[in-house]
Amino acid sequence: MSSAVGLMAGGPARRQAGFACGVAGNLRRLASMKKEGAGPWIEGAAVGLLVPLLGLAAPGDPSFAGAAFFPQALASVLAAALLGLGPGMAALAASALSSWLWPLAAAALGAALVPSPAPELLAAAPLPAAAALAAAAAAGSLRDAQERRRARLMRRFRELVHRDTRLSRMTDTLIILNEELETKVASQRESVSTLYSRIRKMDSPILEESLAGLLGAVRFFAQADLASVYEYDRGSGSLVLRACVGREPPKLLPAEGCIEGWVYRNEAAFSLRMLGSYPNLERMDERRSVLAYPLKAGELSFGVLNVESMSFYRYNPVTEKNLEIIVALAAGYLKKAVDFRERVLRRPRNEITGLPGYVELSRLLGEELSRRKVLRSSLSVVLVELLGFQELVFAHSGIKALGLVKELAQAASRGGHVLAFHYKEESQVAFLLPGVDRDGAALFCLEATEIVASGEWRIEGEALRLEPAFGIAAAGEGSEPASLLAEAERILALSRQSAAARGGG
Amino acid sequence: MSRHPAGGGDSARGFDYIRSMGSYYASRTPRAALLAVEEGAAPIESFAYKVLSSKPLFEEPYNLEELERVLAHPGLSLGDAMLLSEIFADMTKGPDKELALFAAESLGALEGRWARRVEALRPVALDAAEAESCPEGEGGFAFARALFEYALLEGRYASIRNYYLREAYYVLSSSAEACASAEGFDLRIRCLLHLGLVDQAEAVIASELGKRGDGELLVLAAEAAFARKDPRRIRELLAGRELAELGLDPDREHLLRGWTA
Repeated sequence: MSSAVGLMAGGPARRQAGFACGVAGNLRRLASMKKEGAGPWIEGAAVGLLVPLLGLAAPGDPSFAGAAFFPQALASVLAAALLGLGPGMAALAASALSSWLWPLAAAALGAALVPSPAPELLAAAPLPAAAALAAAAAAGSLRDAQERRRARLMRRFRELVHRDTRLSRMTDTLIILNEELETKVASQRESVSTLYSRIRKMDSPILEESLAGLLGAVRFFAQADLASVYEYDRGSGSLVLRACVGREPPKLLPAEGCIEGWVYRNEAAFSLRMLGSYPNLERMDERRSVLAYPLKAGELSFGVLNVESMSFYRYNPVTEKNLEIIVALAAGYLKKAVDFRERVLRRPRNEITGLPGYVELSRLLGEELSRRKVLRSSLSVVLVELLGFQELVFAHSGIKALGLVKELAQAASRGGHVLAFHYKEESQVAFLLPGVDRDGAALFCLEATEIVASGEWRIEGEALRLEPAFGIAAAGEGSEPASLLAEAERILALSRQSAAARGGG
Repeated sequence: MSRHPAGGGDSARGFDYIRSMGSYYASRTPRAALLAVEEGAAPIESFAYKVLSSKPLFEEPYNLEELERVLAHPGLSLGDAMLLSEIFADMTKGPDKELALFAAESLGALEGRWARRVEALRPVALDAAEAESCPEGEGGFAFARALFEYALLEGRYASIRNYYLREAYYVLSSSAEACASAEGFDLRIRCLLHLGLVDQAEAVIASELGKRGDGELLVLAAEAAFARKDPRRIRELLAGRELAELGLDPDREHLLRGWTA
């Protein structure tokens, strides 16, 4: 009920508002007409004025009163349809005016026209004038509405084009910006992932490989042309060159009287810009160091990393900090490599092959297995036996036959992270493959087979055909050295039997 | 809508995209992703994901597709070319023969581009030298610049690098107009520094230092002193200089500022 009252109460107000809107709409329309200019109005009026001239062709009824003012009415409707409501009305008004004016003007000029009398014209006009007015109003309104819709669509279209242009510009800017950022990221040297991949290269039990990884990282991050690693030798009390990149520096340096020695003794880093502030360093300077860092193997002092030449544009605190980080991270890997050298490489080795023996293998295998239990990484053992080894020994000599074993061990170990040992027999070599699972070990066997098959094996010029037998075992959950080696031996025996069967067949 | 990486609308939408990314057009580059977004073939998250997935070219294992894409770029800059050259040279030393072959071929393609540039500029420079009327020694300088860049790209082989550096130096020295410009003069010094002729470079710089007060020459003078491992000289060169007024780019200004601290 209340809503009905409300509606009723609101009725007049809404009507008033509607009326106001209508007036406003008309005013807008008028404004838009003004914007279009007076051209259509003049055109409409001219059409209205000119169409009655056709009356000259009808001297008896120049205003076409008999035809109910047909040309005039049609002209105003056409003008309204083509030019709009206002011009249509102007045409109608001009037609009405000229229907009366032209005959009068003709009469005044003495033309032989029979003017239609005004009272008769007025009497005949209401119906055609009303019909023309209605038709012109309808046609004009339709035309104006269509024109407004067209104008609205054009406005919208212009806005969209403008927006599209702005968006295209933004997209182009984004593309350029993105390419710039992408280039910056792509050419970035100092990133955690790059540091990680460089540091991983130091992870080797072989000291030379570990130091090569360290120098590679230094070369990469400092863009160093010349860099070297010296190890302190307790026996001689001097620094011994262990690895370098670029031109080879002195092999031996004193522990005192040079910057490298100062760095080692004081466990302090050196940077070229320190020279002006420390007179003692200036006295020692032999222009061999731009940056130098003490190296540690675990907690123990190992030696010195010396950067002799690097890009001027990379010599800044950021690079110095990066090298400090690399040196700190290298300590763990150096410890592993130094330990390995102490435990395995400096132990007694076979005089001919230079390979460590079975005892070293089983000890290292035990250590690696316990270490990998924590890390949960793979470890495999491959046993390779040269079949017919005894025949070779009898035919040539033990030393020469062992030379072949040495060559085979070297060829198979090349390019990989592999450690070779003598196994129980002289004809047997055990390869320890850290970080390699059974598939990787099988691949290693394939590669070794290829090496044996494609290699040129000779003793005293005599070409030999070597045949290897393989045994493999991969460390699993709870593997022990003895069980792992037993598994490899079992497969080696099978491989040997298979080779014997082939030979027999 | 939350933009916090821990959750919220945008993050949730991003993860939805990652879960269903197989059903969208797979763009190789951020640019392609942006075009796919424009065409409505992929959501905006695909662009963000691709942009944020960019990684350094140096990262190992190397991304061969990305290396090939950068190599194929027609407007490859010298910096990018040197970076690629460093990566390819590293790859050639790897145990994988196929990768090494790919790297060697790519290196050849890269060096070929610079070699062609040198050969294209050689007749222009020779004509200019004969006519002796090249405005501001443009032909000679461009040729020397191309030789210098080629020498840097061939940095792995000292003999080849030094040969092209010497040729660049000779071109600059024989063209008075090319050497009269600041760029030409600086390039000549760079050639000397890369050839390791530090004393000669310092002597040439010393003659010019009084005439020119721009930062670029100062950087070269500092570089020469650095090559001699003489920090005292670098500090002397920079003493009393207002580095901000030298018109250097921020990186170089920062570099010199490190010596004044």
